[in-house]
Amino acid sequence: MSDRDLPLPETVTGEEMDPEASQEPTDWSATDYYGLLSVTVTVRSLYEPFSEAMRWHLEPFHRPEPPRGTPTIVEVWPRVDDEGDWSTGAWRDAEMLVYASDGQVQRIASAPSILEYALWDANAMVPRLARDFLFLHAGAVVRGDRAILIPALMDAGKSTTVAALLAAGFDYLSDELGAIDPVTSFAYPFEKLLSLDADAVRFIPGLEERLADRQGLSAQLRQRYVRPQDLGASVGRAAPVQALVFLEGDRTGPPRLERLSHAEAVHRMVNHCFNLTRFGDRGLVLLTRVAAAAVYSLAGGTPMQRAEILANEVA
Amino acid sequence: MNETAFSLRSTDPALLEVVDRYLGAHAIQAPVKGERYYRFSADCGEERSLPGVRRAKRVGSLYMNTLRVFRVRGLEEMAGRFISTIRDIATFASDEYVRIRAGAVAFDGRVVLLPSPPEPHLPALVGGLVRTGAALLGDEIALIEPVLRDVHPLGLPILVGVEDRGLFADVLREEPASQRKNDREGLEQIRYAILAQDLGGRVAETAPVGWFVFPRFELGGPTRLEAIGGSEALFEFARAGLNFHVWGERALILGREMLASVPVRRLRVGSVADAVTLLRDLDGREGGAA
Repeated sequence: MSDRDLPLPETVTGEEMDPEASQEPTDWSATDYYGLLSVTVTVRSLYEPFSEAMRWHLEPFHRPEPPRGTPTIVEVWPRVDDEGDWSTGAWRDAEMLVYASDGQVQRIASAPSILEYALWDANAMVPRLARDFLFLHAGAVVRGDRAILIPALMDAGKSTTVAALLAAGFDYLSDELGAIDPVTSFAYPFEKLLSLDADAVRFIPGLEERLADRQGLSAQLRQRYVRPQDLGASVGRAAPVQALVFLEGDRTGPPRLERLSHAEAVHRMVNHCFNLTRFGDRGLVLLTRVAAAAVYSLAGGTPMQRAEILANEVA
Repeated sequence: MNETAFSLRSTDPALLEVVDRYLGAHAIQAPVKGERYYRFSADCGEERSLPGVRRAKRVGSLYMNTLRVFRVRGLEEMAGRFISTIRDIATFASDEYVRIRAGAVAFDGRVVLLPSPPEPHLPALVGGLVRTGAALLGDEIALIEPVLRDVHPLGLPILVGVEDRGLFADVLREEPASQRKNDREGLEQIRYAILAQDLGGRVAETAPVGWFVFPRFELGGPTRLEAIGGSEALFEFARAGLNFHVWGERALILGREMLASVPVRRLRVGSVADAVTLLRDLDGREGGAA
């Protein structure tokens, strides 16, 4: 068993770790607080467009005051070559931003790249830091009081399948993190905005016209970001897992839904866990409880076809 | 402990020997990368002779980084306060457990869980139970694992309060310092460490809960076990919560289901010794877990 990090999108570029080049400011023009499940984050910035974009992207997690707990401190400021740039105001013309987490410079890059990295980092720190959930790399939706978990590897189509399910009447839990509660074994919402490849938006009829992500700094991101309401859906409540659907990488041909055994489900889920080592043996017990659901593999089909077969034959 | 490393340096090597006796099982060579790391420094003070006094206790200070966290008299007090402090730090982030303020001991592999609001006499009750043969899991903090719902041992000594020192005079070696309230700051925070084996007991393995007993200390009054309603028991469980801001409603679901699965009692404690006797006989009276 090994823990995994959320994969860093290929679109994120920029220098890593160049602390010599970064002079850190002491005052911030914006400070925001976020609570992502039990993980708390304070974001300080000297670059208002960055803060505005983060508020929009992380709106479900925004808190008016610092949530209880020890926060991770994220700081973003323009890169300056000379400390004197702070007093002369030359820092406002800086082309690159510095991104630091808990005092450690992580990245120096253009503003859009820093925003993309910040969004990835905010989502990645949840399975790394939260200890009160077992996390699967999985999409998750709910209808009524029954959840469907959709574990899959990166680029298997989780987000587009989840988007299509929301368009088909399901409510949203997550497009990337299946949060399993150890107490109830329920799937809990981690309602980050859905992140779709730009060319995947066309799979959902009428979606492009409803998206609101092309504003401010976000307009320069390659990914498209979808709110549940853009698909006519709401964020769902925690619910027992009724079905586990493992998305296969093969997207050719018509959709093919096949039953799998509960034992196969446990085996497969182990490979999709982010933080199983933290739970050890009891994590396997928890996975066994989740695997009591109906278990399927799903290959082929367009996102809308996948959603249709899941809505008709699984939900 | 729990991905948290501590170091302690001291002006008197004897303090390190005292601490090693209690925490030797947790000793490491160096922090592991990625662990939280706290540095403590102990200024143990100088021994002094005063007119009319045999020998004055040394007044020392313990610092976390550069912050003085308390002043104490004597090495045992210093060790007790140090262990109390690092226990709170190390368990603070252990949110993989539902943490409650509770004593926890095991008889025959089943845990008697004693959830309580902050109560200085609780460790003495736990110490008394360990002396009569119970295995120790924790004296003031209990870690409930939410999947299997058993209790995990803290692996730390019992930290008895200054008012209960007399109950353990046979195992506490250092003579007590002044306990006059106007003579000491933070008297109620003083703790003395006692190992389970010093009381003839041992540390328990992870074990399931067999009984919930909610103690209420009314020293001088009668000591007795009473029935407690389900709602009141859940309320008391919630009052004992330490990380319910993390677990939220899920902690109450866990508490409700656990309380429904085993015998639950209120314990009025007029005398710690009498309370120990009552709890020791729980097994025979209740016939084990429901």
